[in-house]
Amino acid sequence: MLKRLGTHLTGILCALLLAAAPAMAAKDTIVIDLSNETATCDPHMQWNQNSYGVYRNIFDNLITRDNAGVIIPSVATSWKYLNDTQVEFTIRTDITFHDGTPLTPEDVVYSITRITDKATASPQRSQFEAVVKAEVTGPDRVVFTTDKPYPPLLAQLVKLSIVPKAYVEKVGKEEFNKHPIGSGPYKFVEWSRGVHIILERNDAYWGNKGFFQKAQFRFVPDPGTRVADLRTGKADLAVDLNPDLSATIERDKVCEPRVTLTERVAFLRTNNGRTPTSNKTIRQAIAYGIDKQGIIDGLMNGQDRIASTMLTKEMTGYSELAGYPYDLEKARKLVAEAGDAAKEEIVFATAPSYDQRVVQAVQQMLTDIGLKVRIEMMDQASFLKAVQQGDLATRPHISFGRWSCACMDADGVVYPLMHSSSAWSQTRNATLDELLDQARICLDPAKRVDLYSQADKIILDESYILPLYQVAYIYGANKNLVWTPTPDESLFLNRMSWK
Amino acid sequence: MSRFILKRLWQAFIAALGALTILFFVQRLTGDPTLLLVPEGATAEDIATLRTSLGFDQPLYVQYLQYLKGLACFDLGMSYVQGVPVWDIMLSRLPYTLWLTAGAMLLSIGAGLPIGVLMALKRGTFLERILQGVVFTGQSMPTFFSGILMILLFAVHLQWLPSSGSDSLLALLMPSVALGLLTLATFARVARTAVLDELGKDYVRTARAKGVPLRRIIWRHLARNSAIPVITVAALEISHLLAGAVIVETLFAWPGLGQVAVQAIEARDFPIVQAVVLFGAAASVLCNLIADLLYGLVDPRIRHSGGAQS
Amino acid sequence: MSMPAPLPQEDLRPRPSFGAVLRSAAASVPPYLWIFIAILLGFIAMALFAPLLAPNDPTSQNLLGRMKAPGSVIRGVTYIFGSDELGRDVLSRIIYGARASMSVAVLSVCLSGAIGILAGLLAAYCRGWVESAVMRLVDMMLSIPALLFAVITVAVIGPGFINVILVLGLTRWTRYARVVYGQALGLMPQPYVRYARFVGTRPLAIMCRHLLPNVFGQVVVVATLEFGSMVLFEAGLSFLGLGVQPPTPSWGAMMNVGRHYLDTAWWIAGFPGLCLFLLVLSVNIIGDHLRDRLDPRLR
Repeated sequence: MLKRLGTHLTGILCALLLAAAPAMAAKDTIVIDLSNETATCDPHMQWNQNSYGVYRNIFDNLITRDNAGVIIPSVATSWKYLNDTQVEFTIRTDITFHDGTPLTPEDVVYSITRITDKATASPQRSQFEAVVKAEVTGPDRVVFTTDKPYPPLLAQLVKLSIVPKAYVEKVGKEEFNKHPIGSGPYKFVEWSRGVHIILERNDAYWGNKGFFQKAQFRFVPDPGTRVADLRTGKADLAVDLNPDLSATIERDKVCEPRVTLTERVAFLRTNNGRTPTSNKTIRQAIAYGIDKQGIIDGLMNGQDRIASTMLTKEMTGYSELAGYPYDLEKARKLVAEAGDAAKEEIVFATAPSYDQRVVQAVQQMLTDIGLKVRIEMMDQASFLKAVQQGDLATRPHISFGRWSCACMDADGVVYPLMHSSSAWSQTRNATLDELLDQARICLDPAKRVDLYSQADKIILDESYILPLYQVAYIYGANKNLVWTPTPDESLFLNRMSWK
Repeated sequence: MSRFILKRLWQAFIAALGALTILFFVQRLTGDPTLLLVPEGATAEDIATLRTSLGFDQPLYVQYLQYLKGLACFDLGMSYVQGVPVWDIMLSRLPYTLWLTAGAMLLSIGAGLPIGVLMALKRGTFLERILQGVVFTGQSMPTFFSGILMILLFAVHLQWLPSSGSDSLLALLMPSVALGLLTLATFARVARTAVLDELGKDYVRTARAKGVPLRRIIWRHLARNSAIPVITVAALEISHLLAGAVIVETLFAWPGLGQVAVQAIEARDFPIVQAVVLFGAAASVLCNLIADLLYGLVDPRIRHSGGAQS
Repeated sequence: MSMPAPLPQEDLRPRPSFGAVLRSAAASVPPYLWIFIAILLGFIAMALFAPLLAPNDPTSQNLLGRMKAPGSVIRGVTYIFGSDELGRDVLSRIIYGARASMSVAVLSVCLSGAIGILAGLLAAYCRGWVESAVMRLVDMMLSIPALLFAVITVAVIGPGFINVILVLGLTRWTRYARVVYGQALGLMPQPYVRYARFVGTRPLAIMCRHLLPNVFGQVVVVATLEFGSMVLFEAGLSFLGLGVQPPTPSWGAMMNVGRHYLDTAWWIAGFPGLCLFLLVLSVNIIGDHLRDRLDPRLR
């Protein structure tokens, strides 16, 4: 321990000396402020932005999306459906991992079975569990088999990172997490716990090479501090700013906000199994009573987009439907119609990670139409537990949420939120379940859109869930950074450069 | 002497074990981290699988006994979120906590004691009022607010200091000041009281009556006799600093134990929270022991027969 | 040549009663202190008469009138201290916020004081295992950083007005316990206490009648100083998102939200920050004065 302290001392002193040296002429390191420490660099262990933002630069994915969101080849150069449940992928043969070993079809098979194997206990298992079999069928061929026809398969495989089988099996899970080796455009150099992760450009990369020689990911929990880092030039890119914070850097000389509409939709989950929100009239009153455009214009700088259903235009399975317009009079009338039910207290659950301005604005709007709403703030873990576990009668009446399946497919949104078998759903409707089950295994795109459209109509009519707006994600970036944020909230270093 | 140390260590051990036990069970009342670990849309079956693999399907007392068993072999367990041994996380974060504590302590003692002594010597003068004003101002501001004001002034507008991070000694300055302000007030007050106390005593009056210059009296007698209360407070304040560090470390992105503790509580990463509390308990025991031993050095009349609780 | 300083001795005189102390204190208040007493009384009045004083509803929002500078007039309403991030009147929120901030502080001081006094008296009176149990409990509390303990507790019982008071009360009682214990221990061998025990007065009566009045002065000093810490503590919890919950305004919460707007709309955090500062400052100065008066060694 003393030795470690010693290294730290010298480390900090060296850093001090370095800081005193004149600024380097060429920009060779990009500094990115994340909102929390990366959980893991093992791409099969966790799916959160502060983790995949880092590890997707170390690893290549089977397939990927371009900046416009279209699925394009990556490790797999092409793919074709052999039948309803089998897809064959052709794998590139010129990829090597950072330790020099070539990437083989075995690695691809290993990567997916590692996740689907229950012994791994990967939190990502639900995203891939439709794949029941994966096998090598040729020197550059892999075939994935699903239990039933599974339309969102490709959309899910965008998230499959390829890891080196030999290395992982040799060093084990813990060591792999500490010293990950992938085939991506950047190599892992160092993870100083709590401080930063440093990556270095992989000059032997097979694809689009990075501009920056090095990348430093810092962990800065306070958004105000992230903005200060941007303004002082300490960081070149910062994630997760709110619209008011972005306003403070709009006129700044050094940095600017970069905004993109994501596939994430903010919504109110109404508890359809507990009075008074089990009452359709009350739910409709709530839907009419919320001024979505007012929230977007007033609080979000007009950057977000009204959502009438939980699906966004960019998603597979989307069809255009008119949502509830803002109608104060009608809302009040419905509340009056509901009578005594409207006098019961409505518990509005929320967590600190959601925009509290919106939560308070919604509460005020609901109070204005004559409902009694009490905000109940819980920390994230308690919130998820309250919203997902236990009998519907004990869950909060309304809860705030922001949903993204990171797969751009209706199945990843409507099924978990609405199907009665899902822990995330607070709706019990047999007709709806039937439609969602059918859509899940339907390979005919047109028919599938129709099924989701029917489901959405039921959801809208019953007002089972209240979509608010499609979330705009705000990054802060140095003005010299050339980079376009993407709807899937990715941070690909090899798509960034410096002016 | 050694009996005294053993007795104190035993008492501290009981206190730490008690704290840990309560913490262990109370934390588990708040649920477990599985829901935070799975992505949106995970099925109930997957959640259950993950829960089993983390050991949450075991009865609570079994989990507790397993934890104690590990602890007996100095095994703090694995982080649920990061999947690495808790020791790794603790050891990489501890130096930063020590740096910050040292910085804050240095500042609050280095500035607090002289201010306190000056306030005592100049009692009733205009200078005392001014010093008092300074001390009170530092004490009447929430840490996070004085921290933000400093960031805006010294980092954003004047660009003298880095806004966050831990890569240079300059970056240590603002967090230390933000953290040290509260403690500074305590030290100033203790020093003032101690000096006033001593000034009223007969030997000082005699010495002054004999014409010994005040400065010499201060250095020869006051410093030694006022040391005891100052040491007592220093030992207590170190554990207070750990608490204040929770906010300062979050604000300045300083990677110490306070920051990791808050994040671990939010993430339900129980082994880390337990380890931080263990470290905190060990630190406070150590500080108090050192304080007790220092009493003996400063004032040889105190013998550790049964305890020198003041 | 130095004379050995006398070993610390317990003051054997019975302490003057609390009322007498107050009267003598009031008689000798230096002029500057009246300013701070006036500020404190002003804030208390603000908290008590908030509905009469506030020009607007503190929770009524106006999304189109957000972050307007002090003195702005929106839809015929003058926002003297400006409007906040949801277009609410900052002045009205400060006036109502005085309620939340001060009642959290007062109630948690009462709660922690009550627990601490009880623990301290019991330990000093009963000795034996009760004493060691209380002292170990104090050790235990002191070994967990207070704010960490608070964060964990809030995670269990959830945030909110009552819960914040509970948490603060449960974390901060050790200081009272130590002071009361130390003082009461010194009183135990006093003739009047021994006499009371001899004639069979009930323990509770002895504690209330003979011990409590004599330690109360010290308790008041600790309580005044703790009051300031409690206000700051609530603000700290707000920073972590665990303080008094919206839409109820509290100064700590207002400062925490407003800190992001210091460059664009300084008044959102600036005014509540000033109020909080003045409140804590006044209480601390008054407490400091009380301590100087009540600490017999400094007379």
